[in-house]
Amino acid sequence: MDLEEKHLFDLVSTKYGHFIEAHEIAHIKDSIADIVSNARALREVHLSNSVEPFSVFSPFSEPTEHNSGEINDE
Amino acid sequence: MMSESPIFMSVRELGYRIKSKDISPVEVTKIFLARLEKYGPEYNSVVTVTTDLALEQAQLAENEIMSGEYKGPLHGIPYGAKDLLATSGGIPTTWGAKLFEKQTFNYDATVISKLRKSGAILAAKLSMVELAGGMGYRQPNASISGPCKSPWDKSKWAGGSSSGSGSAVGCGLVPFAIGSETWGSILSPANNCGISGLRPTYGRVSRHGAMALSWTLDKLGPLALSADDCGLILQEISGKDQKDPSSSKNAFTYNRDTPRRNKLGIIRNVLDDIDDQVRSNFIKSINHLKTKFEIVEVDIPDLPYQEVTRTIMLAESSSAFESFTEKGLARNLTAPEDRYGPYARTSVLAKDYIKALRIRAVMAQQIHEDMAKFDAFISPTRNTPASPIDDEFRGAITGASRDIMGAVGNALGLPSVSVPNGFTSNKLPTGIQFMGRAFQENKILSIASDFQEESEWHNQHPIELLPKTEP
Repeated sequence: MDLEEKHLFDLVSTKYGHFIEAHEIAHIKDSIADIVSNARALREVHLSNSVEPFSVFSPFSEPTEHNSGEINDE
Repeated sequence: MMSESPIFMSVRELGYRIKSKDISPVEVTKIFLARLEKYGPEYNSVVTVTTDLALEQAQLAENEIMSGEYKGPLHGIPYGAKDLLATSGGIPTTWGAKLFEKQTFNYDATVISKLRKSGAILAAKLSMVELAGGMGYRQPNASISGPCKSPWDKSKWAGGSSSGSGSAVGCGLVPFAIGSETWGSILSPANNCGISGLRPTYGRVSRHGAMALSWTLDKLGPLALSADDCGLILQEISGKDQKDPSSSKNAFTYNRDTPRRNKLGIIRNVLDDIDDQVRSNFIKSINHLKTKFEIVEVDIPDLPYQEVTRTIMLAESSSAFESFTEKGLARNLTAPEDRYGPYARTSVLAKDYIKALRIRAVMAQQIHEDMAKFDAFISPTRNTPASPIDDEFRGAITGASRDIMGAVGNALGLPSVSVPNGFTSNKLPTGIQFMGRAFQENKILSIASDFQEESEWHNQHPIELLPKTEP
């Protein structure tokens, strides 16, 4: 386990250790290694400051008969 | 009196015969209810047969049709719903888990309401992998119903997580079913059960009332005997729903007559590491498609597609099941790996999840541009045919197997339809998928339907399940 994996495992173990059985610990370590491996692949992608997450936030407004509740920029 | 059995009849044909009063909805429903009762337990494909509701809805449909109130192609046709769709009236919605076997809702999922308004008849809640497979299961025995079996071989798995939806259609227990896909859960059972399955564009079908696994990846879609049937069903279940903010305003009207570029793309290296017989059947399909389409290998940008999809799924499911996780309820799940599955994913960092969402934006634009030159990208639906029900499998979600088409398609919410394209030497079905740009279901359904009109794979059914074997 490298340092990042160890820290994440410690976090998981501290929070959920009482739910985890001894024989499951190795599996959880493997899963954390996969998560860190995924994260490192993501971190290698260089994005400019302007690239935003692919999700659009819409302020909520109460739907009415004439308004679907979605943003109307008129 | 029916002149021909409705079992393994297409939805289009069944609808036509019901409309022309050649077939009675009540009679049809009784036939399918009897099959659900008889074969459901044998294949582990059914959780609840909704007999009383089905007979009530069938009688209503019959009365309406007899009085000239025909509602459309699904009127009077029984169907099954994956057991993660909320149903009112005391019908349990188990999410495939023993822990939720008594769970009920006092409302219907939007897709259930829409089908009721279309006159379709809910005949069964169908089995599924517990919590839609989101906890990292690696074996078919991960459900309240036991391992769901392929119609083609009871020693093989029906696929997951919409296992019962695939198996019930493939066994002729219902003419169609509704399933859900976060990553592979419609296409996998379509492949393993030798039927057609459509993963619609994200937002095409309201998710209201469906168990949430991953809000930005979950999609609901039909499984049926043909791509054409999937189009008829999608038309009835799609549309804007104020109860699901992600549902699309783009109306869907099924229309096979869509313009084409006559060009299909295959992502380079997508055929690496696949089973020889899956490859062989896919190459035969390509040779057939070459009579109408130019087929080109495509290089897509070098991006961490699987890592993006996996990170989004892990982070969102961790939040969706936060309460479940904090209470240690995973201990009650069936598959041993599901009992510890929720914990590691709580360590996904917020910045990594957001980075995945940012890369997703780059992916969306670049793949959209790459796909613009093509009608669809194609690939084998799965790398392997159905695996034995008592074996562990290698899944893409857990990182043990490659699935670039699935990662791209699900991360970007792109529609894909899988249809059967042959059998292995052991008579296990294989499939081909046609994946389109967002909201281009008509184009992929049209191509898949043409493919099916010129092939017979979807018209083949297990001999022991044909109606002539009925007592």
